[in-house]
Amino acid sequence: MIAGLSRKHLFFVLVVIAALAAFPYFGGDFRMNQLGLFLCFVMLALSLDLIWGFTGILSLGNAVYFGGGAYFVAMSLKLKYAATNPARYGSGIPDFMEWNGLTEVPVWMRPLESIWFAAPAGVLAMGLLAFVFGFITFKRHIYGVYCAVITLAESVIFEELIIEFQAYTGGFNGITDYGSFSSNTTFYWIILAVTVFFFWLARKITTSHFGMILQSIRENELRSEFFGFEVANYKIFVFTVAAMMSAVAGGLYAALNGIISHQEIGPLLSIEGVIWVAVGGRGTLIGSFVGPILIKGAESLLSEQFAWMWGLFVGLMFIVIVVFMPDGIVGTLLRRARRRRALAEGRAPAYEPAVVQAEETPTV
Amino acid sequence: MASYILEVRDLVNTVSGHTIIDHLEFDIEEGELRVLVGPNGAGKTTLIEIITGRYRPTQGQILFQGQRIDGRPRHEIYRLGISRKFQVPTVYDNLTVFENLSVALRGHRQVFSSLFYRIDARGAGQIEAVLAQINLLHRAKDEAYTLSHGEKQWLEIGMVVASDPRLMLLDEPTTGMTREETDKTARLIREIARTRSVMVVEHDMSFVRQIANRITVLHQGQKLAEGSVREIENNPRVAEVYLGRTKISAAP
Repeated sequence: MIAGLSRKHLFFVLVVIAALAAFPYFGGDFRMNQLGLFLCFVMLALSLDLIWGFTGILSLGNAVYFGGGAYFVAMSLKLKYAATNPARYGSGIPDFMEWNGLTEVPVWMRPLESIWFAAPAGVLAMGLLAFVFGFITFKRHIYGVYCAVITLAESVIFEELIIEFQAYTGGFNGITDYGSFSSNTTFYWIILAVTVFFFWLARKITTSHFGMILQSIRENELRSEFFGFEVANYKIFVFTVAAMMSAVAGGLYAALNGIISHQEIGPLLSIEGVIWVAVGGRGTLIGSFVGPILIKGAESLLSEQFAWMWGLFVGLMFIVIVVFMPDGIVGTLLRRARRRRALAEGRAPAYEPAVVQAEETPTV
Repeated sequence: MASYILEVRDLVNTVSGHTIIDHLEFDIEEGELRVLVGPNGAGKTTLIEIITGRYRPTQGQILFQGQRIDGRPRHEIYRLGISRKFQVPTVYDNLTVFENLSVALRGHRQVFSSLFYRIDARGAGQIEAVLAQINLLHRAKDEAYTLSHGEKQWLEIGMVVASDPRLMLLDEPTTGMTREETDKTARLIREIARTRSVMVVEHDMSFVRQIANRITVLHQGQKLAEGSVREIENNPRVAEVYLGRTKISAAP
């Protein structure tokens, strides 16, 4: 079966994809654009699930790669837009460059004028960055809380850099007004197609033998090292793949949203991503759809109804889910289904054993 | 002269001024089943940690089949042929029993080879053989966290078997087991030891008597005595370090 899904599950997945694909016909442009952005968050969540849910690396800096991919695309579109709309910006260079005293686009930024160069370059650059970062971190056996702190610092540094070098990044205001692909049904479908592809890819990775080794690293990396696995290599690989997925998601996000700022690269989005995965269910992949769509959807609907109270409702929702469903929504459902099946086959013990949380650090 | 699978030469390990292993000389012959005993703090587990690459020795050498392995990375030491069981049973709690064994199964340790590897009929057959050996065939589909303590011990021993080493280091394989489970484990270890070298660290003397040909007694990081079960049990110095008892068989 495709990507290790049973016939029943494959049918379910196809129905969901069909519903998402048909959405522009009944949802209207506004909701379609929103859903497109949510799908970009889904891809971010999928990449986080690979590294956190399956491998046990808690990264609080995954937005760096999302934001990085987004900045490459936004910059490219902006350069193009400014060059082709000189009436608006007399000199044909982006407004923020002009405000900061530049008279022409810096030479090293010129290649970005082509989106066909900029978009792949952004993804590759983020892959390279993740590889170097992963190499330094994982080869030195930095794990658990220390790894989380380092990735958080990475995120803070990049946010600061974006704000600081405003002549080249748009600074605090970000990059705006570059035209976008919003209300474009074809572009929405492209986003959906990429999301489906990433889901398939993540399924492929996690259901392979490699995926099982990733999970063994999550469960106890010391045990895996003594079984001959060079744990750092597995982490570097999955961290790099996840970063490139995030970068693609960020690029699509920038093109759809039409505005991008330091928040998309900073700790805020990084941590939001972690919350989405936790609420949806770590290590389930499906949870990466449920988490962001539920939370961002609720945020959006509630904020339309309640002027300021909506934040409280969303906060309350987090707390309720984390307290009553520590495995997340999908994780809890799957665990129950597994137990039912085990009971039906007469395998499960009469008592429910305590839920074992994946250890952040080796226990022995 | 018998050929040695493991040679420990003048090994010293000090941790913040305390000497844990003190100029230890120690050998295991090819194909041997050796039991290591000694009171708490004798350095038994530390010795395993140094052999498998968790700690570096302060001084001295460790040779595996004549080749120096001290200070080498853990995964390389496994690949040369040494696999170990932890003192506290250490399995992958949220993976099924079958999956636990398939991770441990020999082969496919590289990132790219594991990406495209699927367990074939031969691999599955090997896992089932191990499952039968450790009496966990009926639990194959269950997550490891649902196992009892004794079953986890067996699972980890099974994982070490599946990883197919030349030398197996088993740290306290019967801790927390009932008498009956301990007897089963003794049979299991004797069976395993027919085809490879095994070193077992254990406290339980009745268990030791069931499996051992040759015992090494460690005390304060040094080799106190070495010999057959009979020799060790009648050794007055050994009896002395076991809290002045007349026979170590009375030890816990």
